[in-house]
Amino acid sequence: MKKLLIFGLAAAFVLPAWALDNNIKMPVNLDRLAARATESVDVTLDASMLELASKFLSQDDPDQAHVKKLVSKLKGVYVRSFEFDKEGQYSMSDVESLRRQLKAPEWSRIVGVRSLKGENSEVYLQKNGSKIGGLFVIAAEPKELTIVHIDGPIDPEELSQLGGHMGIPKIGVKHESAKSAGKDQE
Amino acid sequence: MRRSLLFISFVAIFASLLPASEFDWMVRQVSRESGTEPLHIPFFGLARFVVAVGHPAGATDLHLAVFENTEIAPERFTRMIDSAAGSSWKPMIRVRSRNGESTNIYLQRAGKQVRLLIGTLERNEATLIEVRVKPEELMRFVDEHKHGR
Repeated sequence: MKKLLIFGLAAAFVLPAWALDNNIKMPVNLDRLAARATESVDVTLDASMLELASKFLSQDDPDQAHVKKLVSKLKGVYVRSFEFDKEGQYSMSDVESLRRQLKAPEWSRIVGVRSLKGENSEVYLQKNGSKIGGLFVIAAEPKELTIVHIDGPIDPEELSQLGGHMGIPKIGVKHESAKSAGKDQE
Repeated sequence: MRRSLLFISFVAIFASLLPASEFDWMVRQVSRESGTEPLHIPFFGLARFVVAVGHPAGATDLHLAVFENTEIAPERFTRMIDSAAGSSWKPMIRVRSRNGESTNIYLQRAGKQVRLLIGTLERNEATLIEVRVKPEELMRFVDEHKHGR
C-alpha cells in the first residue's frame, strides 16, 4: 500500500511534467551526420535566448523591426543544417524519428514536395486549438539537409519574413518551368 | 609625452590589479586542455580600458585570448568550450566544418546588458572572445553607420 502511495505521488508529479514537455527531440543520429558533413550549423534559441537575440535586431530598420515583433511571440527557434561534399551521405531514415514525432492530431503535414532530382521538402503545422502552435520544415537535397523548428504561434506567410534571420534559411519561390516540370506536388 | 607614459603605466597597473575573472578561468581551462598558452597581446589592457570608459558601439567590456599552434579537432574544441563556459552560458550557434573550423557562440544576460562568448577554431588557431554589450546601443551604432551618418 505504501509502495502504491509512493508510486501514485511520483506519477502525479512526473506525469504532468512529461505531458507538458511536448518539444520535438532532435535525434542523436543528427549529431553523427555532423561528423560526415563538410559544414554543419546548429542554432538553438529558446524563449529566453530569443528575447536576448532579438535585442540585436534594429528598431529603425522596418524589416528587422517586423521580425522583432514576430519573434516576440515565439517560444523557440531551432535550426540544424548539414552540407555534404557528395551525395548519399545521409538517408531519409536519419530524419525518420523526427517524422514519427510529427503525428496527427497535434501535427499535420501541409506541404510535401518531391522531385526526381532528390529535392524533398515537407512542412508540418502544429495545431493549438484554432491557432497555429508551431511549424516544422524538413528540406532535403542530395547534398544538403535542413531542419527548422519554429515553436510558437506563426502564420506560414510570415515564415518568409523570418528567412535570413535567427539562422532560418531564406525562403524563396522559384518560378522556373523547367524545374517545376520534374516535381510532383503531393 | 611624460604624461602619456604615466597614463599608460597607470592603465597597465590598473589592469593587472583587476581580479581574475570568469573569462580568465575559461582561458586557463582551454590552456590546460589544449596544452598551449595564450599569446600576449601588446596594449590589450589599454584597449580594454578604452572599451570600459568609452563604450564604443555599446560595448562595456572586452576580453580576448588567442592560442596558436593548437592541434584540436573541432568536436573536441566545442566540448572544451562547453566545459569551460559551464551552464551559465547558453549555446546559441554552433558551426562546424570538416576542414577543422569551428565557431561557437554563447549568450548570457547581464542585467540590461548581454554577454557574448565566442569561441572560434581555425586550423591551428583558437580564439576566445567575451564582449559585454548594450544591445540597443550596438544596434543604434550599426544603424548610424549603415546609413553613412
